[in-house]
Amino acid sequence: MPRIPEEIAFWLRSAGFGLVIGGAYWFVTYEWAGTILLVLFGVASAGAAAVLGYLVRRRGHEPPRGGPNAEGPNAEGPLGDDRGRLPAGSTAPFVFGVGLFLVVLGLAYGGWFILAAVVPIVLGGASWLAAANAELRATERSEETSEP
Amino acid sequence: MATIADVRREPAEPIRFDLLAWLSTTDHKAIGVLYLTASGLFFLLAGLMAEVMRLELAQPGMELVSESAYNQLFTMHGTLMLLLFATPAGIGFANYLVPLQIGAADMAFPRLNALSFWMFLFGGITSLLGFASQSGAAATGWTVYAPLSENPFSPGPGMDLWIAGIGLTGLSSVIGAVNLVTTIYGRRAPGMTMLRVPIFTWNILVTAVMILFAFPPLTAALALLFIDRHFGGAFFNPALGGSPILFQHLFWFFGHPEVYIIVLPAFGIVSEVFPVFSSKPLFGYKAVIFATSAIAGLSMSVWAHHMFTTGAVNLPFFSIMSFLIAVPTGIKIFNWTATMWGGRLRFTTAMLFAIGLLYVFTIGGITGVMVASPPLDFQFQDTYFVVAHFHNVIIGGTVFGIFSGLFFWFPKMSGRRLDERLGRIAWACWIVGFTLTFIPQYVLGAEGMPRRIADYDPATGWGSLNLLSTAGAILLGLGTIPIVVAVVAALRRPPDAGPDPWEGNSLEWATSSPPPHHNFVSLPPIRSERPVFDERMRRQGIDPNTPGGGVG
Repeated sequence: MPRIPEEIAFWLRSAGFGLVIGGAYWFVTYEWAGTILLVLFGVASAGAAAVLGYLVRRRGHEPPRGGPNAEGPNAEGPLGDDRGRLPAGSTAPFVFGVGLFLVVLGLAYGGWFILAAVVPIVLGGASWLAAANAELRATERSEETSEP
Repeated sequence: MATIADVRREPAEPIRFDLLAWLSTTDHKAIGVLYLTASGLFFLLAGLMAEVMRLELAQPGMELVSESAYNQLFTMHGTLMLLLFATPAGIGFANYLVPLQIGAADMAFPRLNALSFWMFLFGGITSLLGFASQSGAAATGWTVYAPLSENPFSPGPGMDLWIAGIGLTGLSSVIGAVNLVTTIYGRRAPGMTMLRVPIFTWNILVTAVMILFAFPPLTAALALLFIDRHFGGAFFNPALGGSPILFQHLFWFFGHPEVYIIVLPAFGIVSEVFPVFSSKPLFGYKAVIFATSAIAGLSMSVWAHHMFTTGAVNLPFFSIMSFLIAVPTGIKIFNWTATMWGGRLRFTTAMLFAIGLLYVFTIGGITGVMVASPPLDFQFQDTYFVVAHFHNVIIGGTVFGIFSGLFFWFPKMSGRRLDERLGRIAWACWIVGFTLTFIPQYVLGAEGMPRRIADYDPATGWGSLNLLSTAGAILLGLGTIPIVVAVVAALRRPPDAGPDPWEGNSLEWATSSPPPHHNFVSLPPIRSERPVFDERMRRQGIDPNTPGGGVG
């Protein structure tokens, strides 16, 4: 039986713990709130383990990433793709954050703040999407030119 | 191709302030610095509040602040220290160090990372704005128990600002946690398997997972409370058929893991500091990972030990689970001690604060086992014994760790060492000040002094111990000044640290100080959890895998 990678085993342990403790808690207390919280902790961990298991299986069919440290296709390693560009500085997160600030002030002081929040949220969101799209296109162009 | 040696010759950039650059940064290192700076300012503010409260209690009959203001002060002191200092400080270190330790160029989602910071900052400011409102800031205690936090008992915008601000901060923490987990899972350098990930990063992974499970119940509780307050809801108001106990379940399902959410990053820090300044590998790397995971799991199942006296929870279940959590915590304390055992110890400020954590946190752990016992908890509930216990845990488990991490990694962040003499003065003040402040509070609690009171009867005889406690608090305040001075002074000096001033173990020491925007030009081979140590040994012609290779 193949060894379960640590990155999945971690979530499986969480899932097992949540489900066992959640079950034990129910039979000891018959209390709903805590049981639901504990069981959901277990179920969510199991879900994470399942998704990671799928990703690891998919990685197994891909060639290993290059470099002097690569240890073969079955080696435990990162699940992500390290390609891509570092984003340039952008005020979009700050502007979007200002919008959220106005929203929470609106919760305390009334709807005018929430109305005012529309402007920074739209501006921040649009500039965020534009920057992300520009980077995606630049990455694709760069990959096309680097291919033989 | 550039080598590590080339990177080490790169000059450190001068420290300069460019507002637009800070507002628009998506670099994980700058965001880490922003987190640490903002949380540091919240820490100083919360510390000032603590000083005012301690002066108020120094003797019976003091009237520095009104009772209403005192209630606001202890509420916001707890809020600031737990949610706006300790939690984000850990996230700040994580932001700066996790990509470096795993050999990545940045976080998985850099712009989302920046948004997390701004949400945290604006959330914190929102909760503080309550002081400027007519009703004053929230005054319910940081636990905002319903029905005290419901409209009839806490009217006005101060409570709403707290709910909205902390809700936003919580959302920021969840986004930050998703980013950290994704980064650790997806951005590790080739060769870095999970069991070669540095121990600080392991602690951050476990912390991030805990945030993912613990913060949503808080957000739910706050949303339901807001509905109760403004839309005629009856979730927590017993007069309308609601259940205050449900609020406590939701709050403490967040609240107890929160203790470990703030403590585990500090445990990660000292787990890096002890090996470096003992010139030994961490004793039981895998055991420490197991203990960290076990602490996280158990901490999700002990929430209702905060509710023993409600009469609505199962005492044996929560008591046993709370006792159990002492086991993995004990494993960690044993492993840190064993790491130092027989090592070539260097008593730098970082190491002194790490040892301080052992002393202070262990007292908190022992008294934690005491209050996990229902008969004792019934006696100590809502007394100064509990106040002393959780300050032992939280100051010991976070502040000492954070100061240790500051002295350890400040040279990496800025290229400049912090003044060791100032650091030692601060350490001495914190050790003595802490003992003076909180040991008397255990006695006061055992004598029955309730927490959250602004005054007490002179006939109780509590004056002398309170005066001693206040003197200790003043020493803690004074002990913070050398740290602030050391940071300011270091930033005014030219860089003097070099890439690896302490002979570190993990990858952040393989690049310049501060690191370039993309972090690394090249990476050393990663064959263990100590790649930089391995590389240093290889350069000296020693095989790090031979018994005793480079040890001691």
